[in-house]
Amino acid sequence: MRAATVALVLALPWATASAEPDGLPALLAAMGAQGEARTAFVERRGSGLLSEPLLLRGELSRPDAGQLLREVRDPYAESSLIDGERVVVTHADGGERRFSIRRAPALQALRDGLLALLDGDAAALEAAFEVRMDTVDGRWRLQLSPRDARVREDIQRLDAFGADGALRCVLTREADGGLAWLLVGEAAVDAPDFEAECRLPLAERAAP
Amino acid sequence: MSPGARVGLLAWLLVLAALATVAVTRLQPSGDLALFLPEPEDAAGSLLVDSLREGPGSRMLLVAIGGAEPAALALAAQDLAEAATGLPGVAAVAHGAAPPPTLPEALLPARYLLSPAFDAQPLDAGRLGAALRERLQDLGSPAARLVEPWVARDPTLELLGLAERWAPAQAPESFDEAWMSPELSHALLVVESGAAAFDPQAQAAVVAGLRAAFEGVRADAGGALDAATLELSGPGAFAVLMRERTQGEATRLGLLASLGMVLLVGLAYRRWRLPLLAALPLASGVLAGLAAVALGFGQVHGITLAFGITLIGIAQDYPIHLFSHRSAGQPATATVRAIWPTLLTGVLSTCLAFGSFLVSGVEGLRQLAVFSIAGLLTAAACTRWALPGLLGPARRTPGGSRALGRLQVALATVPGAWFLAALLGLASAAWLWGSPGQLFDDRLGGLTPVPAELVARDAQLRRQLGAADVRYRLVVEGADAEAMLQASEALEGLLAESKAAGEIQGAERPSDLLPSRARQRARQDGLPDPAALEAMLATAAEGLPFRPGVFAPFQADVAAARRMAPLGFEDLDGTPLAPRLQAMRADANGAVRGLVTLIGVRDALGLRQRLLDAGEPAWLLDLQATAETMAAGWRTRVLWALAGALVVLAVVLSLALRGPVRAARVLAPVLLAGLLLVAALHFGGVSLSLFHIVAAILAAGLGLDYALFFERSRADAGDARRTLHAVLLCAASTTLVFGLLATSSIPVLQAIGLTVALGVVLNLLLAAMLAGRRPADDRP
Repeated sequence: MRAATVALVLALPWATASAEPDGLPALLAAMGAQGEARTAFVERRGSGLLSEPLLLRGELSRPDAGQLLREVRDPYAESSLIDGERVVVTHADGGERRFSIRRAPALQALRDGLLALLDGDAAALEAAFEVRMDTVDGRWRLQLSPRDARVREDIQRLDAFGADGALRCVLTREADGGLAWLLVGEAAVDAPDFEAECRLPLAERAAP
Repeated sequence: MSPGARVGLLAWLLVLAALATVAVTRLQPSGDLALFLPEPEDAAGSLLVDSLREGPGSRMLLVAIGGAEPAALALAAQDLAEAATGLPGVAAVAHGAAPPPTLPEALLPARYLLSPAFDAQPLDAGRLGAALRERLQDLGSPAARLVEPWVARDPTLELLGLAERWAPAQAPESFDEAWMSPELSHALLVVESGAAAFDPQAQAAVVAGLRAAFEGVRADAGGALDAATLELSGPGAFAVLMRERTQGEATRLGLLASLGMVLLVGLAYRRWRLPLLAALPLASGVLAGLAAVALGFGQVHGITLAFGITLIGIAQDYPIHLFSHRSAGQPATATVRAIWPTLLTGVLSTCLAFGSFLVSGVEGLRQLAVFSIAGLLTAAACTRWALPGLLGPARRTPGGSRALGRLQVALATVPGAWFLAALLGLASAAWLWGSPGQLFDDRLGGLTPVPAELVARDAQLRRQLGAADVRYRLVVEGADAEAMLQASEALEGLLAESKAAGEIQGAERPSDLLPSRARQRARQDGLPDPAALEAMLATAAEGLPFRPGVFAPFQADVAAARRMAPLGFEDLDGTPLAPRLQAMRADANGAVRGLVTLIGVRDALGLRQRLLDAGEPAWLLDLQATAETMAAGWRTRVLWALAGALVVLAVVLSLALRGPVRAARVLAPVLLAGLLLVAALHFGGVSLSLFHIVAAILAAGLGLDYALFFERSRADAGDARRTLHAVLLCAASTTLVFGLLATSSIPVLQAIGLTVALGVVLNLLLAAMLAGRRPADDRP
C-alpha cells in the first residue's frame, strides 16, 4: 500500500505536465456513451482495528436517475440504496437503517462522483468537485476535491482512474490519511490488483 | 401655587421617588403560576406545585418546522438541532437521530450497571461473537467512520443502547432520522431548557436563540426552506409570546386610555391642568403598592401586577370626586373636608373587601391585597392632603348645568325603583339557582392567558412527539432513594400489562434512568472476571480479522464496572441525566417520592383499578383534578371571606352613616349590581374564573363609592347635581378604560374589561336610582 502511495506521489509532477484542459468533456461524453446500468465492484478498506483490510465484493447499480445501489455479496450481504438525500441500509436479516447522507460525508462524495462519472455528466461533476485531469497514454486520472466544506472535513479527495472511456478505480483519500479502494468494471476481477489499477502507469512516466 | 403647596408637592414627589426606588430595586417579576395556588395541604397538592415549577413538561419547548418537502424539513431539523445544542440556556435537544452518549468519561464503565441488556441473558462468547461480526460489517459499511471510534471500547454498543433507552419512550413518526408529524408536514424537535419555564428572561433568551438559529439554517439551505416556518410551543414559549403580546397591547391600549382620560377630564372641567393632577393619586398609589409588595414579599407575579393596577383603578375616581364637588370661589381644602368622610368610608370599605384576599391562603392573592390596600390608602391620602394645595380657587362650579339637574331628578325619582330592583334581584337569583351551566371555572388553565388554539396545538404536538402526559403521573414512595428505586423497578410488570391492555402508551420510571443499587450489584455479579472475559473474547473473535489486543479498552471498562461502587442520584449530578432525574423525584416528610412519567394515557380509570388490584404499589396522581380541587378550595375561602367582609362592612357602614337604614340604602344597589353582573355573565355562557371574581370585586368597590356619594347628597339638589357630575365622569372614564380592555385579543384582558365595564354601568344606574333616591320618594 505504501509503495503505491509513493508511486502516486512520484507520478504527480509528471502527470500534471500532460494535463489536457479540453479532455474532460470528451472523456465524460465517452463514459456516458458506454455507461452500464450495473457493474461489479471490489472494495478494500483498512482500519486500525483490523490486522488485515476488509475485502468486500458486490454490485453497484443505478436503479433510477439520481439513485445508487451498493449491494455487498461477500463476506456478508448488505445493500445500501442512496436515493437523493436519503440512505437506506438493509441487512441480510431484513433489518433496516435509514439516515441522511449528510451524516456520511464519505458516501456523499462517492455518490456525487460515481453518479456523475457513470452518467458522463461533466457539469454535475464540476458542481461537486474541483476537477483536475491527467492522462498518460490512454490512461487517465481525475483528482476530485470536494467543494462542500462539510464533506471536506472527512474526505480530502477522490482519485478516479480509468482507461479510455471506462472507469476502473476510485481511491478515496480520507482527511485523516486513511485510504479506501474501490475497483469497478473490468478491474473488479477475482484477484484484483488494487495498486496497479489505482495509479497512472509508471512505465510511461519516462516517455516524452 | 402657594409656597406651602410647593413644599408639599416637592415632599410628595420625594416620597414617590423613594417608593419607586424600593420597588425597582427589590422587586423580582415572576411568572410562577404556583403563586396562585394555595399552600398545598396533601401529597397530591405539593406534587402539583412542584410539577408546575419543575415538571419535565414545563421545561420542554416543542419545535415544529413546516412549509417544505419532508426531506428538506428533516435536514432543517438536523441543522437546527446542531445549531441549538450550543445555545446558552439549552440543556438538551432531541430531534430523532440516535443521540450521542450522555455519560461523562469517568462514568462510562457504569454503562454495564445501568443497561438492562445482559439481565435476561448474561454476556457470553456467543453474544460477543455476534456483536463482533456486526461491528466488522459496520467497519465495511458507508457509515464506518461513525462507529469506528467506539468499536474497541464498546463492541456491544451498550452506550448506544442506553442513549436509545433514555430517548423519549414512545418514538414519534420518523423520516430521515428526524421526528415528523404523522402526515410528514412538520419536522419536530424537543428542546429542553435549563431554566424553569416561568423564568421569562431565560426563556426569552432561549426562544430568541432558536429563532436566530432557524434563520441561519434557512439562509444556508439555498432556497429549499424559503417558505419554511418555525413554530415554538410549550410553557416557556407561551410565557415569551404572552409577554410580547401583552406588552404590545398594553402599550397601545394604555396610550388610547390615557388620551381618552385626558380628553374626558379636560372637557368635563374645561381646565387642561386637571387631567395631569388627576393622575397624581393613582400614580402614587401604584408606586406605594409596588413598594409594599416589594418589602413584604420580594417578588411579584405578573398577574398580581396586572390585577393590582386594575384594582386600584378605583383611585382614579378620588380626584374626580374632589374636582366635581367644587363650587365657584370655594377653596379646595374646604371641598375636600366636606367630602372626606364619605370618601374615607368608601376607601376603608373597599380595603375591607380586598382584605378578604388576605385569608385566601394563596400567595398571589395576598400580594394582590397588600398591593391594592397600600395603593388605595396612599391615593386617598394624596387626594386629601397633597392635591388641594395644588388646586387654585375654583373659577366655576363643574356640576352646575341644568341638564345635569334634570337627569339627576329623573334618575332619583324613577317610579317603583325599589320594587323594580327587588324583582330584578329575584329573577337573577332564580336564574342562577336554576340554570344548568357551570358557574365557576376552576381549571388552572383558566388562569393561563394563552389563547385556546395555542393550547390545543401544544397538546397535538405533545401527542405526536409521544411527550409526557401533562395530566397524569404515577407516584412511588420509599423510606429512602434505594427503596423508592426498588419500588419503581417493581412496577415493570404492571406497566407492561397496562400498556398491553391499551390503558397507556408507555411509561418512564426513575429506575429506567437510574436502577437501584441492588440491581446494579446484581449486574456487577453477572459480569465476567478478567480471565473469563479474555477467554470469551478469544472465542468470539476467532476467524475475524480484528487485531489482537484491540479490545483492551473494552476489557478495562468491564473490569472497572465490576469494581466500582453502584451509582446513586448524587453520582449523576452534573450529567445531562440530572435534570430529568431531579424532575422525577419529589421528597417530602422524610419520604422519597418518585414520579413515573406516563405517555398517552387512554384509560386512567383502568390503570387506577389495576393499581388497586395490585395492592397499590403506586398511586395515580391526576394533576388536573388536584388543581381543580385546590382552586375550588381557595375560591370557597375567598367567597366566605367576602361574605364575612360584607357583614363587617354592614356594621361599619351602619356606624359611619349612623343607622342601618342608610347603610342598607348604600349596600343594596352594590349587592344587586353584583348579582345582576354574575347573572348576566352566566347568561352569556361565561364560567367565572379568578379574573372575573377580581373584576367583579373591583366593580363592586367602584359601585360602593357611587352609592356612598349619591346617598350623601340625596337631600340637597345642588350637591346631588355635583355628585352626579362626579359619578358620571368616574363611570365614563372607567367604562372607557375597561371598554378598551374588552377589545383586547388576550382572552383574560377581554374578560376583565367586559366584566368591569358592565359592572360599572349596572352600579351607576342602580346607585343613582336607589342610593340617590330623593327622600320624598323614598319608601324602601
